[in-house]
Amino acid sequence: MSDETRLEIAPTTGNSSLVLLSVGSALVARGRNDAAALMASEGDGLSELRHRAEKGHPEAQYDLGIAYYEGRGLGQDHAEAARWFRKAADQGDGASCIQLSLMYATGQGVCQDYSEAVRWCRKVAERGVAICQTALGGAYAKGNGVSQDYTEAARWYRRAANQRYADAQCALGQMYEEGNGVPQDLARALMWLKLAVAHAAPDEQADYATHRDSCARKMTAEQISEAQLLAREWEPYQDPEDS
Amino acid sequence: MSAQITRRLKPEEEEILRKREELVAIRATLAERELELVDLRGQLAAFEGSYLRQVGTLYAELDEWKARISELRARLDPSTTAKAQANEAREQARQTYQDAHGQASEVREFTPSPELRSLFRDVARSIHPDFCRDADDLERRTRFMAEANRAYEAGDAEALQCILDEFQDGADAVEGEGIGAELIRIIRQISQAKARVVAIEQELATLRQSEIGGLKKQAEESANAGRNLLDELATSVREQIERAKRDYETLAKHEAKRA
Repeated sequence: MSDETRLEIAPTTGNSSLVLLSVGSALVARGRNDAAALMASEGDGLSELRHRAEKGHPEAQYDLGIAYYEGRGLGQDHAEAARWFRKAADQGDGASCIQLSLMYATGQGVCQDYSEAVRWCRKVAERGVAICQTALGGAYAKGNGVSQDYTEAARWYRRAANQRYADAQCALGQMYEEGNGVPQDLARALMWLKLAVAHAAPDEQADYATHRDSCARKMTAEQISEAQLLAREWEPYQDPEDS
Repeated sequence: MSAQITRRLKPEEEEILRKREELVAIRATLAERELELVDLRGQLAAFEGSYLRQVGTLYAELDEWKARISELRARLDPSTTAKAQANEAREQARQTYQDAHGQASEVREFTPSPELRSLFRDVARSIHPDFCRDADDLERRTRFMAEANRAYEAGDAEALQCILDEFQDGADAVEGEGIGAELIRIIRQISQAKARVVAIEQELATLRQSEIGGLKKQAEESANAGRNLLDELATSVREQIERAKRDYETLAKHEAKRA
């Protein structure tokens, strides 16, 4: 027996008959990469979110709805988004009411239905949210989802306009200019159009300025100076209903 | 005999008893580790098989569409770059197809019964090559161990039992070696077995850190979160295939218009 030789013998494992790892490891690596991306995209955050949404938390339902709406972290699915917004909106979540209203207006994920769009929009408008008041005013002005009613349109525009919401101020100004829903009054029209320009975001100012100038061209110098005075004296007004 | 046993043992006899016990213990550990290794390899191979069948074949389909798109692009824009890209995409598609449909994709679920595992443990304990006496014995043990591995992977308990029986039938009678020689032999066997345990630990770690080991870990983690990773992967690749098909059709229409 030669102990010296035996010491040089390397430990031998039983040869496995399995084909493994030698083949296709690039293909496996590819799956691993894609899997990592999948896991990261709907990682802990999203499964946690889904869990809370299923438990009925409206903020989680809204966030999950947005994730489906934008396809963030999972496949984009507008119908699924609408389903989650609806659950949160039923619990009074304002942001979900707005989303749902927009989706009914555009027919994304639900059948286009203006009266449903108005119904969800009104819920938030009544709580004093200017963007929804303006949208509701627009629905009355155009007769989308409700019977056309300029008086109601002007009423909703005014509630938002009083909150310095430029879009509503411009719309209300045009109502005064045309005499729609309010008695025609060019000085008041110009006042609102001036305010709209003053309160507009920089990229919208030019648009409102065009409306303002076209209105001013129809007016006498006296009417214009009256409008200037009105605009200077104007103060935002908090509708008791919007407080 | 009993008189001999009760007599006071010489120091080298005491040592040899201790070493024999140590050898028995390390053989048990080694057998356990060998079993763990063969099990992990089996599980990974089975997982790789399901991955290749469920997802790998879809990657092959995706790469086929990508290759067709590149080839169509090269026809529409016969530049050398486009041609090179088309060749590359075609080669990638061929490679992916080969990998996805190769032998590895045929490995199925591996669930050895407790009886089979216990039998393998016995086999590993008795015939492990690390317990060889000399080069001939090593060759014989290596051969038996390889057969035992195959029988285990095939789930063939009967074959495993036959291997064990055959090995024991042919086992060399203990040679009339002196106590000193036996002590040296046992010490060397222990040290070889310990080295093998370390080697197995490394092999286990290598397997766990391999690509397929990592993918399996991801799958297990996502299963804990109530998800099915392979299903999700398959869905995502299917979506990519659909997009690739649409791209291909758009290009084909474009080519038809030009023709």
